Amino acid sequence: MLSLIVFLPTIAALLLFFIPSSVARKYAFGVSIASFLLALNLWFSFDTTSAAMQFSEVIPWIPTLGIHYALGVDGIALPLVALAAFIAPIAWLGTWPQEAVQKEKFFVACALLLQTGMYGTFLATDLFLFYFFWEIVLIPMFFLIGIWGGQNRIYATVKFFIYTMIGSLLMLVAIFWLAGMAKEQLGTTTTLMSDLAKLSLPFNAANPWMSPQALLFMAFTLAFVIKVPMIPFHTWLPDAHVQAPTLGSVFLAAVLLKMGTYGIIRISLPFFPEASLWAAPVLQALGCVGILYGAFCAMAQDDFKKLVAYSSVSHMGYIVVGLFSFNTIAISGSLYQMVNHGIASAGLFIVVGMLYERLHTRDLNKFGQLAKSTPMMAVAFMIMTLSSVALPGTNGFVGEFTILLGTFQQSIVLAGLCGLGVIFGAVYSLKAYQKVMLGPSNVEVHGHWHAHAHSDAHDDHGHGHGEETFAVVTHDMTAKEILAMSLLTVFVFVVGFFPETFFGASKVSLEALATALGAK
Amino acid sequence: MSITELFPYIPFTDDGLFALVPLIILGCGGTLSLMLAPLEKKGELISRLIAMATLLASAITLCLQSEAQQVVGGVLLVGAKTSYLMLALHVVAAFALFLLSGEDKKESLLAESSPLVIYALCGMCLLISSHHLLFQFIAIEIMSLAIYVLVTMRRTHKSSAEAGMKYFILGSIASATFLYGSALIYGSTGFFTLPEIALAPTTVLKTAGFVLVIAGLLFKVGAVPFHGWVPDVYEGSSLPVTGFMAAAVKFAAFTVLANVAAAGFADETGLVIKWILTVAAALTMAWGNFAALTQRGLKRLLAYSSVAHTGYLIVGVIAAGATAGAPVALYLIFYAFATLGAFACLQTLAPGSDDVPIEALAGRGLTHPFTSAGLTLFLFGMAGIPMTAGFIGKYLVFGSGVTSGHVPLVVLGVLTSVAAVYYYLRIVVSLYMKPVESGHPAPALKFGAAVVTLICMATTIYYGLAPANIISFFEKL
Repeated sequence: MLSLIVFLPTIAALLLFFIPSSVARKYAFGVSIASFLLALNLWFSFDTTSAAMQFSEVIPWIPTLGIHYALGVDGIALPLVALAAFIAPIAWLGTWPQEAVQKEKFFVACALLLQTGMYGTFLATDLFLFYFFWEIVLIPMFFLIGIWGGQNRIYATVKFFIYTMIGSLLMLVAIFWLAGMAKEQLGTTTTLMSDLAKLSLPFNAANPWMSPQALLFMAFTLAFVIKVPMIPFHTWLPDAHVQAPTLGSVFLAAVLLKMGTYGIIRISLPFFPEASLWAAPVLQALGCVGILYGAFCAMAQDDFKKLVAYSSVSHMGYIVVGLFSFNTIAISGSLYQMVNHGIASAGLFIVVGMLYERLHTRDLNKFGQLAKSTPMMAVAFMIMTLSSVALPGTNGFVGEFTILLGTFQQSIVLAGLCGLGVIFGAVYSLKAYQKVMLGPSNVEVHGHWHAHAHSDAHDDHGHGHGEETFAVVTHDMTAKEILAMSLLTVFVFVVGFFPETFFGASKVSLEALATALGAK
Repeated sequence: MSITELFPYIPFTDDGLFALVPLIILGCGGTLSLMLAPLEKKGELISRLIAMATLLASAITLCLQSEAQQVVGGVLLVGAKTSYLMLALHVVAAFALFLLSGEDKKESLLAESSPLVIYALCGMCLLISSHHLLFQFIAIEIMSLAIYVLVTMRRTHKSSAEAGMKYFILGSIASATFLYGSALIYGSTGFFTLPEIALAPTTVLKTAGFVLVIAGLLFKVGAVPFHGWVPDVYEGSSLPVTGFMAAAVKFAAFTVLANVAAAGFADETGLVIKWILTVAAALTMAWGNFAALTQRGLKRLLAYSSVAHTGYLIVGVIAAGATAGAPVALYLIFYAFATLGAFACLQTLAPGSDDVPIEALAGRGLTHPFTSAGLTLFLFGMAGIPMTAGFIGKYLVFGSGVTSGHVPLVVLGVLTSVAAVYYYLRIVVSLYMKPVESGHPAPALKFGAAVVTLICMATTIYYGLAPANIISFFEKL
């Protein structure tokens, strides 16, 4: 079953050869629905009382190296697989372009391969396979940004690729090392996570820098925090987001970033507990700095997309703080936040994309009073904003509150500093909302898409702009976009009010992880 | 000492003779092809067909022998592994012939190019199976002389003659170094055959001999600081010849380097060898990758990238120590397919005499989707991205490096290969993300290049996804 989830998009991508370009996008949407149904089936057949890997598939792949094709799902992977499956159809619907993109088939193929990589990363239970999918994700994303991105796309995509590559190559060295240790300690080379968990990795508290466990921890965690991205490794993210096509941004923010935090929770913490505890203060400090720094950067942006990108840096900081708090509640909160940030950031990027599609600008100063002409979009945008600023009753609250609660038990100062991030988050998010939807614009911009729709503002055409203000006018959401945003909205409120419905499945696995870590 | 003492008369057994059949076929077929090449009518075609037939015949006889045995009194060691490596070289040579057939007539490679490829192959096969220093020397010379001529063959290009001269003179010095080293080893141990040398007591003379032999071989594989010839020779030769050199010459030279180093690692000499190889590997990886960053021409870029790969391979040789070194052999096979495939793609995308800049490939992703996809795959393979054979090769070589305790060297390797990712990506970016430049006409897809690209793509993906069989095959040997 898991293999089908992972490889359905790849098979579909291969079949694209026989699909005419004109229906490629519909086809991809259909595939993502099929994928979603498979994930739904997985969700309902998942046994929530067990912390073990379920639906495991273990097939020797390269026996001489102990490499297995091994998939499995537990309560930690399940919400993320569900997130990826849920986001995919929404991403297609929410970014449906008005006119066909050039090289449409290639675009669709890249997006489908990206999905295989995402599912594979979350489901792999063999370290080699994990690395395999982790790297595979890079290639379609590289093309998505590089071919269909904005002005400065080549710089952004190469930066994205190289940055991730530095981290992951060091992770590769660490995988070799673990496999070699497995040979020494267990007698066979293996990269199965369940076998590697049995290794005893020496950690020398007196001189931690040179002990194997610390070095391995650093190699893996560097790869993960680059992907998260944690300060100071975040600089690729604003570039990649701003240049990426909307669909790419949605996948990047909603799912790809979670691969980093998933790696921490799946590998860094359970495999290297002592080293994690040793490094936790530094990582938590960097996470906290990331929350505040990301928020400040977001406040200073005029580019709407860059604002959302920096808000991702800020919100992902919570997850890092929560994971390294060694507190059961905060670790659970981090998992919630992974999913919730995925939903909110996907929604916000879709809004940015819809506006860009209509007005061909992302400059916050050029928008204004859009709520008049696009009331539906205003509502959807508001809900996503509130989810992002963690208003009680939305899903965002569930994640950030839980993290702060857990962190508070660990350190009041840290929780207080991180809590400031929530306030700043409200400042920049609402500022963006106000500039786009409510406040007047002092620059005249026309909706490029429906020429007849901007007659209100057209009277002033040709005059000096002076003190005049304009209401930017454009078309409201299409049916597809309404569907996409309403699905996200349903999720925001259902999880906001009844978090157990979604996160109940993770409870046992999270408890098992926390017990193993000796968390409080 | 008389010559009969050096080369005592060895009674041939039938089996031993059979092991030599592929070499004999190659020698005879090459000569026949050479003699028919100057025919006025269709001489080139006939000579190429004979060369192909020779390859086929020799490959068939290779397939028939798999028993490990010593031939000619321990001079040649043949077996399943050497047969497999030789077969891979045969495939590479066949690809080179395919590509040669697609070369522009204006390039005016002489008709003798096909037999020269066969001769070079003959030398390589001898080199791979030989465990006798003098035979190795002879094999290196057979291979190199053919390659020198192939490099110099483009009469219309000054750069070709320059490259050939450079390669010839420097190569001769390297050969002399190798020979002098073998003389020292013989003087110290009394043996030319590697298994016996490995067992002989360590002396300063023996160590000095090993240092010289290895220096000579490091030249042949293009390791820093003996890499100076690589970019110029790659640039000066025609694309098929460059591809053949990058794939096959490196392949054969590395196999013998691994054999010689393994013999040297057996005793204290190993410490010195290891030290030399470690320094060479570090320098080669760093210099190859960083120099490639600054290149504008595609061939020079690939030349420096090939230098960088030499560095990774030396890590594999160090890691293998005195063992057989399956990772190195596998890496060589995977790399040969990727690099030859890349040159085949270049023959389609950037034909012509001179080294073209990367920008010349702009927009080819649209006009030449098949070849561009191929080139992208090969470059990703060389960069070590999963799903390609190159990744498996890198995993094996670096993995063996880590397990044998050379973590710093491997870390240096992976960090410098990030630079490699950058320059490989520059080519991919040019292919897919830049508009077509008007100055460069769209070339047509040639049959030979298409066949080579397709087979290399299939191989690269197949071994990238299902390497289990070939790995266990080499591990067992």
